[in-house]
Amino acid sequence: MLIKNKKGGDKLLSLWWFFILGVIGGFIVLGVVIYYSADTNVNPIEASILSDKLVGCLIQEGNLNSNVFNPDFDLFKECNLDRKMFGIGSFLYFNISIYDSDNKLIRELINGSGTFELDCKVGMKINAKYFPSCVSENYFANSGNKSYRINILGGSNQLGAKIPIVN
Amino acid sequence: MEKRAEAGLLETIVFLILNVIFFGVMMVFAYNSGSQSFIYEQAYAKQLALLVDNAKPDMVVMINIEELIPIALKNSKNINQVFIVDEKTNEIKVNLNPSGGYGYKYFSDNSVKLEVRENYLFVTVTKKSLDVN
Repeated sequence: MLIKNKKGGDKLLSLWWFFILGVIGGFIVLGVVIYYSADTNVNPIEASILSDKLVGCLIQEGNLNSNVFNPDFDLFKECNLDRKMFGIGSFLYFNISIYDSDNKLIRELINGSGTFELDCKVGMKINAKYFPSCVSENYFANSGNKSYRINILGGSNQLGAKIPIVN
Repeated sequence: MEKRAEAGLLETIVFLILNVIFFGVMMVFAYNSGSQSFIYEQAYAKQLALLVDNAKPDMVVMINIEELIPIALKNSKNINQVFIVDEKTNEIKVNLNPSGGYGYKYFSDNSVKLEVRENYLFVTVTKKSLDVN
């Protein structure tokens, strides 16, 4: 019936054509929205920079900064870190563990939320957007006649934010 | 017979015009999306914050920002007001849109100065003076 009625067939073709245009348009818009809503995650780089900064001030030319064993050791001052950016609830975390030659933990410096390390492990396995990224590395250094293994873990969970009018 | 032919021609013309409008709108949408400034805001804010964290005091870094100048002009933004450092919150703000911008924080305890000269952004990182806190 439709095939015989040419005018009706034309109308059907028009409707069908506009439906196709709508679908094409919808997919173009969807593609653009998905592409531009993609977030660049620089947390692994930030964690790596934090870790490198900590290494740089704790170990110099293979020697462990001897002040680190001093109870009054101010890591923020030594490493040129802004104290207000760290602490519980901050998006940054670090854990410095110093072991002696017998692998006995002799000094530990931790700053940040306690769940950070666990979240990092989860984040590494499931590649989730809102989980932190961590970098953990081992270093060997001497201080006096003793040698030490230093494990430095740096983490970041900064998301960045859109901000209102800036002027 | 002629009337029917005229009506058929009119329908075809309307159909073609609507198609042209549709593809025109799609092309304009794709073009505008291609120059979306918020991507640049995010990229530059993050890049600058990481640069500041990685920099050592008394370091000056030049960044070519040639690609941002036409976008700032298009959005009626003064290029000298696009990059802002908030030292109270340790935040680098990049603002290419009239409606707002993007901010990313740095953690190093340095003083940061951002200055645009011609096509370059000069990032000067210095040690914070002891009396500032």
